[in-house]
Amino acid sequence: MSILNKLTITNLKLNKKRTAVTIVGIILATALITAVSGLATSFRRTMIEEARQTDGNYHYEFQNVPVEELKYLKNNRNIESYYITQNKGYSILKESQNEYKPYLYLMAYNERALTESSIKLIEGRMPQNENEIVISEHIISNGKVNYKVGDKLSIDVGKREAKDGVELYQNNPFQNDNSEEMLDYQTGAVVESTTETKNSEKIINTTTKTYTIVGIIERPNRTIEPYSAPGYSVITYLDESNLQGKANFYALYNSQALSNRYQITSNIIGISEEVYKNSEQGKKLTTEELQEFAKARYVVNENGYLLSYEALNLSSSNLSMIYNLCIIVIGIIIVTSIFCIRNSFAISITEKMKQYGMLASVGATSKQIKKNVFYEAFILSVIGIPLGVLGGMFAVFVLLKIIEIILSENLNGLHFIFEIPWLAIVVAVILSLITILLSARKSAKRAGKVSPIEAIRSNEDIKIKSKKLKTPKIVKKLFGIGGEISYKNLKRNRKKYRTTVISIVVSVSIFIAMSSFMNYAFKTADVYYGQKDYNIMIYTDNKEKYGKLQETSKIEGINKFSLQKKISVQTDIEKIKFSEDGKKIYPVNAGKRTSFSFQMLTLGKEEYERYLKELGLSYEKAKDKVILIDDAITYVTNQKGNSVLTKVQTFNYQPGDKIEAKHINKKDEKNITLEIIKVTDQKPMGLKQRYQSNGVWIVSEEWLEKNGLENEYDIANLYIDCNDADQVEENAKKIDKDLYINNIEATARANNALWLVIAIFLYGFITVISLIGITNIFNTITTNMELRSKEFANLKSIGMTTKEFNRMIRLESIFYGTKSLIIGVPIGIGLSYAIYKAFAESEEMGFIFPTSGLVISVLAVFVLVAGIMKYSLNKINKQNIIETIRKDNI
Amino acid sequence: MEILRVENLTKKYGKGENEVVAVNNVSFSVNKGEFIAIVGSSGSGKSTLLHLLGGVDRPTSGKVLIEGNNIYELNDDQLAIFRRRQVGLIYQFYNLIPILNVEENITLPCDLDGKKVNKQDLNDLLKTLGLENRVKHLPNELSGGQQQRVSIGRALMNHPAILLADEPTGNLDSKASDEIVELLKISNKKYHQTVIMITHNLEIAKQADRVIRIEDGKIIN
Repeated sequence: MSILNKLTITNLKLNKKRTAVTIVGIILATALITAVSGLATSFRRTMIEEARQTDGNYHYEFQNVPVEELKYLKNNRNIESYYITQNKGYSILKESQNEYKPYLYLMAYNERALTESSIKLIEGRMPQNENEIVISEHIISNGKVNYKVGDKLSIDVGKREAKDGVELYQNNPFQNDNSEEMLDYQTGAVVESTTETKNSEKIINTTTKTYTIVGIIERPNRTIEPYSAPGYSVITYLDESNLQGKANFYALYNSQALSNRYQITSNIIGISEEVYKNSEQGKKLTTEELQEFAKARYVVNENGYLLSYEALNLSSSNLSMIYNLCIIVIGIIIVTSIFCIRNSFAISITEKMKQYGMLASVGATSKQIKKNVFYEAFILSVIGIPLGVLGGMFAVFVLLKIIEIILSENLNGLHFIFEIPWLAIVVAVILSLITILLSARKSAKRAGKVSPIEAIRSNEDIKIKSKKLKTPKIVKKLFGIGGEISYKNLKRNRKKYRTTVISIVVSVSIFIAMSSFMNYAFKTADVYYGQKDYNIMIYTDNKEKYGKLQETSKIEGINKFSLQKKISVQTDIEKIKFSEDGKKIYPVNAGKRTSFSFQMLTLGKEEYERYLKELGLSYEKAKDKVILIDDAITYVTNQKGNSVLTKVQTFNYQPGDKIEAKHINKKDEKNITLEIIKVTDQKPMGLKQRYQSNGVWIVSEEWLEKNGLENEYDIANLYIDCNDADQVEENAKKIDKDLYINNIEATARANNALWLVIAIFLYGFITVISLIGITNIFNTITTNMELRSKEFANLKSIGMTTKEFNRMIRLESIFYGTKSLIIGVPIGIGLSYAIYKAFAESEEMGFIFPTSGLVISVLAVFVLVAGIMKYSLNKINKQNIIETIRKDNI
Repeated sequence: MEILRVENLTKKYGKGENEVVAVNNVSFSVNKGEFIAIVGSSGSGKSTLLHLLGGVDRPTSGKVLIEGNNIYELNDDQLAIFRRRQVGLIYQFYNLIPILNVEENITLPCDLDGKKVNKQDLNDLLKTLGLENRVKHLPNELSGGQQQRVSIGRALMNHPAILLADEPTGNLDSKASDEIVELLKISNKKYHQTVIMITHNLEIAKQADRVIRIEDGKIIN
């Protein structure tokens, strides 16, 4: 090793603390870059795996490909792997208890399809020949047909056809006369109605075959068996060598093909790339394009989620938001670490200028000196970068575990995949290296240019102009000569302190912004979940289950409940008396809308009586009449011309007004008359935050019975207020596991867990950024104090007491702590306001001044700066005045 | 009138085998208004002696009495205050505060003491030092001789009991050296200032009222 390199290592060892701090800075920066990119890739990997598990391991599905054409697809070099399925057809399942699901739907899967298409085996094994089948568990749990593994099943499989002869598939729901009107529960409007008559479809061309059930699978995903599919999935084995007719081809593209997948897919189906792309991206096609599109050889389906995660199809806004966030975060890290690393190099070089001068005076060339600086950079990188990468990877691993624990309730058994992002690591390493080399280069240039005598006298750092140091008189008056000296020092070292100030500014402003982000996040969650007067809501639209709801309401531990029936009625829109605001919501003259629907609601006996009491009404008076809750929220244009969410009344009704309406069901119509007893904005249990523009019309159960409507409700809701929501939920499930139960407490808990994870990330991030900043500040301050130790000794020798001296240093820290805060705090508040604006869009909230974040950051800055100053003060105060003064006088 | 009295002053550095006796049982006294030169070879202990006189270092044993008070009975802060009121120090390398201008550097002991600067005094001093045109300059804008004059001004500002100069001409050319010595002599005459100066230069030493020679930490004449 050359003597110069030896010198470098000796120097690094001598300045152990500074070397350590610099290396820590490099480690933190590298670790942070690795961790951020590692988390991003791990999440992506997890999402990809999740998409493969739930939706199947394919990118594109080509439907109904004739068997003789399959070989072209199989030999396509863009397709990495594939699997094949075939739709065999429907068979009637007579025993099915679900009137909307009267069929079995038989499919055949080849070997690979059975493993790759997200089919999950619960019991038994997968089929191994064409005489074996696996059946969906849904047949047993939903259809109540008691099949077992080992059963032999003889089925007649055929084509399902509508009355008009159109072939029907799984995405066509079962059509019979029981199809009811589909109601939009928000507005009560009728959105869709089917008028098919009973047994409008049939199964034709059946062939009979006997299969053995060898296994039971979970209900397949929604692309295989949609929610409204009429047939339960049954899967048999597909023998590729014995394939006839048409088959579905599921292709997994290779990575190259993925990047120009539109071209490749459009080629396969034989239409122009542009038309295909437009249709995939949801653009409206022109007539010509539609004609072109119709020429497509096969129907093709994208595996949307998998493609969006794997091909980074950023059209999904969530995904692009996450990636943008990562880019911003990495940007902040890089900027901060560049400052940090550059700064520590500049410091190290300044300190050694004298040494370089001496080396130069004994004949070291400028090249040798530069090399020496780079050698130092090399040593620091060799230690710092690998440790940083390891640390970052470890952090990702730990974070994923923590998330899994905290979010266990949200994740439904999803397991995070820890992926080592090799590319990200390479990028992180290169970025760190470039940063270090660039910083070193500048310092090396400075070191190389050194003139021996200048360096030895170390005049370099004292090139000051008196103008720059002008100090307002008030400083001296307020803080004495010590204050003046510290103020001037701040001005002298402007450049050196700039990095420190910037570090503090970045940390402080990000911290304030993040703390207010978390404030809003928790506040929003609180507004949403905290103000509900119930913690469990159970509903059913199955009239046979009403009794189950009644039973549930008697579970032990319930403080209060309201069992509500909701009945939709309609009337002629012109008969309704709207307020001015109401007319804007329901423009009568627009012509399209002729009917007006609204919902009547019963509350259950107890809640109804309590509610009447609250309104000051008696049961006898109210029981034959209706209470109208007229309290809507809508966008109203205010005087400034902005659209603002405002509370309005839709109607213009007084007590005593009567409304004629009718209730319609399949068989007949019933006319009813509603007499209003009270118009109010007070709401009963469960509806506290409901703002319905068509009003909530509350009647007694007695009234329903009188009008013969007690069984005509669309939906029954049970709102429960209890102490132990989880226990009640469990008991309710025991009564009937098919009830839809919304446990508000659990949802809120899950939501808070999610925010907790976000908080961990945000605060973790700001902590590490601050740590990088602190290494920076530590290096700047301690070195600066060391460089000035002679000056300090001098001041002491002419009679400055230790007390005065400490006071001077303290003032200095206060001066630039204040300076950083003066810049950082307003930026932080500005960012908070921006965040408030973003949140205010969705929730009604005032701007919360980020007081806590502000106080914490102000305190932290002063404690930190004072702490580091104190550290160097102790060192200086221990030094002997004379030795310090004479140290450098050669 | 005796202003300074040194009794059995000893300063040792290090311990055991490494022990060095820089000042070895030295006693002498100085009268007010005397101009004394301390000479001796390098490493003879003269600088240590000077620093002990100025209260910037503490002796191993012995006393330094200034105007009858033993300065090493004071605690560190009292000693610092003593230094700024009673001692003027001049170093070979001036040791000015780089961010303060000429005037500020000179008035620094006053400011530290919280005393109001006597403008007349200051102007008189600046004139004597030949710095009246350099008042707002920073140290790095001055020549070596000028910087040393500033440090003399700083030392004299508080009218200290003794002025201690540690090779004040050691870093200057002969012309500047002459000017500095002349200034010290003037202050000695004009302000009746007691001056103790370390020098290598025998020519300069000859101009003093008395020469104290030091060898191996002991006075030898």
